[in-house]
Amino acid sequence: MNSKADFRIEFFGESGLLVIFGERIDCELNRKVHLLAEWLAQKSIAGITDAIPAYASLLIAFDPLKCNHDLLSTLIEQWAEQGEKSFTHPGRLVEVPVIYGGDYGPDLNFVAGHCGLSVDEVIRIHSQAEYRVFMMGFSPGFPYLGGMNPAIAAPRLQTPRPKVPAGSVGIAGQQTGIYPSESPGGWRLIGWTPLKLFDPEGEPPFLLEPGDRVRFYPIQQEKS
Amino acid sequence: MRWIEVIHGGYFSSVQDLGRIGWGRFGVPRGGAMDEFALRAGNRLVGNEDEVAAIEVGPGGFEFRVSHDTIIAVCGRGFTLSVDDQPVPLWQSLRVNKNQQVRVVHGEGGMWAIVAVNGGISVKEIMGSRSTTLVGKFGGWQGRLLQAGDRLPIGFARIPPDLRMPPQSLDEIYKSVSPVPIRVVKGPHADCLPEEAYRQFLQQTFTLSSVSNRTGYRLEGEPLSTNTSADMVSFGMLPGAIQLPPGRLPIVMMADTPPTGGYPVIAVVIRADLPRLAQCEPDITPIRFEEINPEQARLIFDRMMKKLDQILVLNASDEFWNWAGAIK
Repeated sequence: MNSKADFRIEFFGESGLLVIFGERIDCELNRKVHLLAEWLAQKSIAGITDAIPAYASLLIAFDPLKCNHDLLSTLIEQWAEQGEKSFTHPGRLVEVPVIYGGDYGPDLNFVAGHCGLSVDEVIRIHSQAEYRVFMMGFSPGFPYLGGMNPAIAAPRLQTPRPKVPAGSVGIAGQQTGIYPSESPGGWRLIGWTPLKLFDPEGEPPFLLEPGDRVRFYPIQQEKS
Repeated sequence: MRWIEVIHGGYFSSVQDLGRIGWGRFGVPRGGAMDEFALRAGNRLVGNEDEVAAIEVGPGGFEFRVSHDTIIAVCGRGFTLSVDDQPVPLWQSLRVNKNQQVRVVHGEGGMWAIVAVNGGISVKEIMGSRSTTLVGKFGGWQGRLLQAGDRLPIGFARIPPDLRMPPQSLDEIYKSVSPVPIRVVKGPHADCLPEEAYRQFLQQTFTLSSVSNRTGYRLEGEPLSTNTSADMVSFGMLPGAIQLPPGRLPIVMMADTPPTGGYPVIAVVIRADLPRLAQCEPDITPIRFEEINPEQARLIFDRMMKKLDQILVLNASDEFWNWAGAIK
């Protein structure tokens, strides 16, 4: 059940409003973020320029000459009273093929060792779960995926790699993610996907959206 | 094909418009001109819509020529302008002829200038914008800063290229008093801060660190007296947000800010004052922050937009046309 007490609304300048549901990384909190984001998108309110979902908050940016805090706050409270009935779709399911280990996942052995598991067990656990795109950030199209089994959690690298190839699948703490473009990065790399997550000129440019569900499945490198 | 040719690119020149609106949830920085007012004013002075792309010039200056007789305007702070070595004013609608050499030279008192051309810079639109995203290396001209030899396409204007008359006081928003007061709205996490530290933020005079860039302006001064190391989970971010990292010296997020961040946002610079902050010079301009409420901030932004509405289409009086066209 939603209730007013479930969140607080803060000013973010004259052009923004931050709806805070909590202060931790949590599936239930994040689900509410996407519920509200989707509800707002369906309402297509004049003047809203951006709605940025994060782990436990939604930042709504708007043109202050077309929209205002009062109007939005009232709407959000209306949403809270209606509850979750307004939620219409549970997020698309996107399946992501991954070549685990070897040069594609140079940290897979470390993760296995760190967790006291075999490499195959790590792969099995990683590809068994269904993840949720909690939020996107760090670089365009980078999905922070929640819902990972804590049994394969691993700390970040002490010193980030200067270059992580696009498509690399990594683990940091209890999250997993995919690098959409080549960039520096400190996540433990366990595999690589041939899928293109971000193509600036693509239609659409991004494979994933915040709120999507993601499932990994292992593939083998083709013998040449 | 109509084009503008870069003769000298300077160090930080790039194609910018009002930014990539609506892509923040995919992790895409909004980007866009550092000085929104200069961009809007420049576009209006050449008969473009506000959101048309222009060239943003940073310290290092810029030099160019155009392929055809047209109208240009250069708006910003800290620059001088010449056409074939004849000095001409900024914040004016100017006629330039084919192949005339236009130089935008950086001096003192500001950081960014906008070169607007009738018809706009017509590079490919990516995710609804022509802005250059340097971090992602896309948008603008090949996703990078401009260099000598680049030839950027100029679009066809919907509005015929008449000269336009700016009000005398078009650039009054920059009128400087020292220290420059930058107005802010209290931030969503101001309450994480001891009251004393927030007061210190408002009473102190800061300068900008020289490592400031299009992503963020770092403030230098006395670190705020707080040992709150608020452990926050990432949340959405907008240009103007003032974050307090563990070093306890605030950073103001600017046009290229990533759309998420994780340090407490103690205040947010009002939209109408972001251009003024953008123009502050590292190590030089003294800056002070002043808190106002969101409704006041909205009214000030409204006033800024109305100022732009005072730019009038000139009834092509021959006298003015001749004056503007006298640069041979």
